[in-house]
Amino acid sequence: MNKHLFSPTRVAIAMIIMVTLGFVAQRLSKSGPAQTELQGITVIDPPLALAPFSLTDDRGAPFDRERLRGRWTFLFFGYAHCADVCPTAMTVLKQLKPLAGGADAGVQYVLVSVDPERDTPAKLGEYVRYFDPQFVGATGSHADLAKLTKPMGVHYARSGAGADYQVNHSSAIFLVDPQARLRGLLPQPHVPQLMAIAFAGVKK
Amino acid sequence: MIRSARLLGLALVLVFAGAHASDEVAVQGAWVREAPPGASVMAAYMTLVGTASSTKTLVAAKAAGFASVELHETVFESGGVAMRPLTALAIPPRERIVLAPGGRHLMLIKPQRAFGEGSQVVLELKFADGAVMRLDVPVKRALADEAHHHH
Repeated sequence: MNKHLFSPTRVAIAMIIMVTLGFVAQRLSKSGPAQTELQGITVIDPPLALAPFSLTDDRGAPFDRERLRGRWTFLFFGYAHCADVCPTAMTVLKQLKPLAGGADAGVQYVLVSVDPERDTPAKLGEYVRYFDPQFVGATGSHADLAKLTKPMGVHYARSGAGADYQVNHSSAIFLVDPQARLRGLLPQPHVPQLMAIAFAGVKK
Repeated sequence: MIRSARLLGLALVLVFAGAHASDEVAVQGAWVREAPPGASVMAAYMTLVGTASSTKTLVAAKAAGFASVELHETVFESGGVAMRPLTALAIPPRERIVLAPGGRHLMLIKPQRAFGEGSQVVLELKFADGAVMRLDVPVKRALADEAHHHH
């Protein structure tokens, strides 16, 4: 074997070339749109400040814009008589919680019920705490709900007749920052691991 | 020597029996999601596998301990979800029809008692040709991997 083929000099030069190519390739792949293309989230940029609203939480306490200050919030709009989408979303939030820092991370998870006629504060509390003892429920009259839902682009409407009606509703999970500003919209399908990565990306 | 020949013969028969698809719909992975206390509806999910040669059509269902059962499909319309009731679900030969979170599901309405994790729901599926299937479906809190069960 020709001992000069793999001389230290040639090996060093080859390594420098490979590292340089790797560096260049990495830079090129990052040259596309970055921050707003996090997977699993539509980033709201600039953040959308939420207008004042006045709802009641599941313990009967006021749930207003002040409750969104000082911590990040994942918000979902649903209702307790929902067979499929809402339990799925609440389960996803439960699975997200440890990935988003857990119980002490100062992140809150809120279900806003768009069915105040059936979802009394007591029922709502029972519902959310089934999924996690820290989860919060909130609701109000449709006029009060509109102050929160309309600016966020959330739609809902009753469907079906009688006492067992269903409510069609937006299925995205909304991310609100500690200044009570909407920062992101996480659409279906909800994958907890991707949501956690998206959350970390938005917080940066 | 004869005994092992018989066992071999039995094994071969079983292998060939399994190789032919059935005339019945097969149900795989059926589960009912445990609901919060006081819930008026629960959802049942499963995969229905078609028969060897003919389409079977699910037209009705019943569940012991529930007032009624309906088949629904969660559909996405302009950013929101709606639930559309289905009157029938066709299961073509050899196809897998999946009922999963975020998609089609059986809505079990008005439980007459609590169905907690670990209990079973006796579900009856009725088909257009008159066939009836009875299943014991376990109640579970949540599947670990929910997102990947999207239809």
